[in-house]
Amino acid sequence: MTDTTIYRPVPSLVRILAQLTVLSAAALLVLGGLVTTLRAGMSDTRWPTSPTHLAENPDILRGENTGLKIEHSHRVLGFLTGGLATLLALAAWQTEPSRTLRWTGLLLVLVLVVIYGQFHRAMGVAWSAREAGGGLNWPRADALATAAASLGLLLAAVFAARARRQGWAVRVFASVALISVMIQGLLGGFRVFLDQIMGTELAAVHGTFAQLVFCLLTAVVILTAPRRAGDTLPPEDQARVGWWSLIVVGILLVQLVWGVWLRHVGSPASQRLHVLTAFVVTGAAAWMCVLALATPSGRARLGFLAYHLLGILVLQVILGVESWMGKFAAAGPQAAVPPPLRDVSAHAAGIRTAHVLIGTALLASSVAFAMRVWRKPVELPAVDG
Amino acid sequence: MRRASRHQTSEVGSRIAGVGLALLFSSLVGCDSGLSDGYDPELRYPLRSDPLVLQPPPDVPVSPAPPGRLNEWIAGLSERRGKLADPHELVNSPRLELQKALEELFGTPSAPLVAVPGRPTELPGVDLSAVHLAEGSRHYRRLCAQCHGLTGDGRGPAGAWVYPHPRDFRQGVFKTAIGTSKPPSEALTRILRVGVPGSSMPLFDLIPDEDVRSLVAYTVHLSVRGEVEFRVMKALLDESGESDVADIASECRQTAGSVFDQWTRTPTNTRLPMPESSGDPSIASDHASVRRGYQLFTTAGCASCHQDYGRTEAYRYDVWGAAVRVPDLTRGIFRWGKQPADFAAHIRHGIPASGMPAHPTLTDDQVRDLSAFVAELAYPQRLPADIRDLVYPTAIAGRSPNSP
Repeated sequence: MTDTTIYRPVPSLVRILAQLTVLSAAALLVLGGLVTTLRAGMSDTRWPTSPTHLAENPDILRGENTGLKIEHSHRVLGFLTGGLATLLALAAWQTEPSRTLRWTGLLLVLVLVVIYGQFHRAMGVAWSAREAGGGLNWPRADALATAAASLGLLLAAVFAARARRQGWAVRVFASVALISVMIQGLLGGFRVFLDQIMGTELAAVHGTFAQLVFCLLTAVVILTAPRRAGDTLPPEDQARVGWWSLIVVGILLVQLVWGVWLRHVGSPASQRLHVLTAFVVTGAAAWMCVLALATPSGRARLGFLAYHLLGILVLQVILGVESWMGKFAAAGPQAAVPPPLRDVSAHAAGIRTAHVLIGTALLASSVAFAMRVWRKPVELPAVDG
Repeated sequence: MRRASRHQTSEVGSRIAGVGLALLFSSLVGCDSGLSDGYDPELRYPLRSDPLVLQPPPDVPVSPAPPGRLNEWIAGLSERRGKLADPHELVNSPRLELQKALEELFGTPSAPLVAVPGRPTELPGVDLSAVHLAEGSRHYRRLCAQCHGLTGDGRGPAGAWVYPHPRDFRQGVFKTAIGTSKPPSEALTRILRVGVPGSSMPLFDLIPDEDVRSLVAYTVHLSVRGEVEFRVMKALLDESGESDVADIASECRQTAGSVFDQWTRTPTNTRLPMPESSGDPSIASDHASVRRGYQLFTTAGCASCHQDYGRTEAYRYDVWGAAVRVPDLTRGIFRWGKQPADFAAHIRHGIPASGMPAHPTLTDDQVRDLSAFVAELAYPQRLPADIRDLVYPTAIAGRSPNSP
């Protein structure tokens, strides 16, 4: 028997795929954070490598090069996340009620993946040419074709958004998430490919964009969640918390940019801004949670998220202090070396990477919070009899 | 009432958003003090604190240093009968004097020098002027320091986590120096331009020649500084009493002169003229030469280290105290070039830094034969059938583990 008080925007399969993609992306973020902490991004100087590179070269996992192991595990998880994001986009488009738009969306996702794969292979050829001393020859046609296919998919998403049929937001976000995952993969790759020209800058952009991609994927999970009648916030609660929820997302995003810049570049400005913004984030998030928990209706609908946010905020502050001490406080010979060039112990690497991961979780949770605050009432289908 | 409250909330929100934007702007303004500016002018080269490896242990290591623990591993070499000297034993006045003397000769990371008395600021192909070195220092900070470290000790934050470990320039030893004490500038330039296959050393093919020249100059600067520091420290820590250092500053100047002179000696062409490998598997090699090379490989002692042609995992100590894996010659990955002439040079002169012995008694023809065998070894289809069966007894006919 179907529960008519529950509205499912998309079938459970889409939700499961969205959850799997987020899990894979979280593991990817952990390894990405470790790559940055251990400065292992250039352990393998070659990009691109094939998805089966680790399977073809089992010596990497058996060998002594820890940097190489982490970097290639990161790349494998990147491929896995990309694969899951593709399945998610396909599953989301499969739910489009309009037959024409459904097949257009499905076809565009497949075309994009094939063309992107071809671009990836063409970059491999470009790398081999460089290695052989042939200079840098960009596969421009493949790049343009990939961009065109991405635009096509975005256009289909726009049509889906305008039609406003059931589950349209999932299709739009899943499409944007797929393209974002692809861009993120390219940013990581170009960070290696163009290391000598703009490696650090691209690594910082790659690190920042990772946060946005993770938020997008989290948003897809939230959008696929079953809804019930009356699960929205009363207007007075929404008025009280609404803007704060957006402000917290904004400040957290800014804070993560400082954090990424601090880790990759370590400029004095980023050091100061990251610490100062931490106070602003803590204050703003705490105040938002106080506002959310001020009424019984707020507690009922946002209580879990608010306490969850406060919990990981406290954890993040503790990890931040520990990371800061591990990076900037040094004694003995290490004190004579600038912080970005100091040794990184396994313990310090663990703390810093956890700080990065919890930072991302904080941003994703604040996005979830804001989506909960701003969501509109659901229209349940009428029940006969 | 509700509208007023909403208006109030959005006003607070706008203010906070304004503060956020101001922070963003000020950060972007401050971004220029990042990597592109190189080192802080106040920064000094720290005096060496890791042990000086005077002699690696006589035994054979069974594995390399555990990930991230290279320093502890090297410090433990004395327990395996290696000979180390601990810089921490150098205290107070001698330590300060050494630091001061090195700074006078070699400047600071942001204002590096090679001010060796009575010597020019130029080596063959290397401009060691202050301006050029400062340029090199900026590029080094951006492109090299995270692996090779502030002082060129190979202990940047990534250094302990990659294998082979990044080169430590401070002993003045380079594996690219063939038959000479120091490598020519062309050899260092080549490493920068093409990288080191099989390691994490990338190629720098997209940066201008001028940047590469300044990087080579700065690398030489770090190497000369590090070697002077190494030698003087070794003399100061010598317990036998053979090295009596009366005046540290004068000892540094004298040692710097001696090291500088080694760099000025233009290496003679020590390479044997060799036919270049075609790299095309369809082109048959000189099978007779390859067969003779195979015989030599198995009888001249090569196989004692390159067991099963290097497929058996084996390690040797290098002069820096790390354990290096004996190369697997069947993989076709060669760090210092894969032309027969490259092999010939290393067979003749060895790679002393990693324990590969020189072979001065082999005739030129024997070296050519060995080189021909090693050059073909990774490509079964290019080996004569009888040799292929011996090297790849389990290989499936028509299928090669490596493609050229």
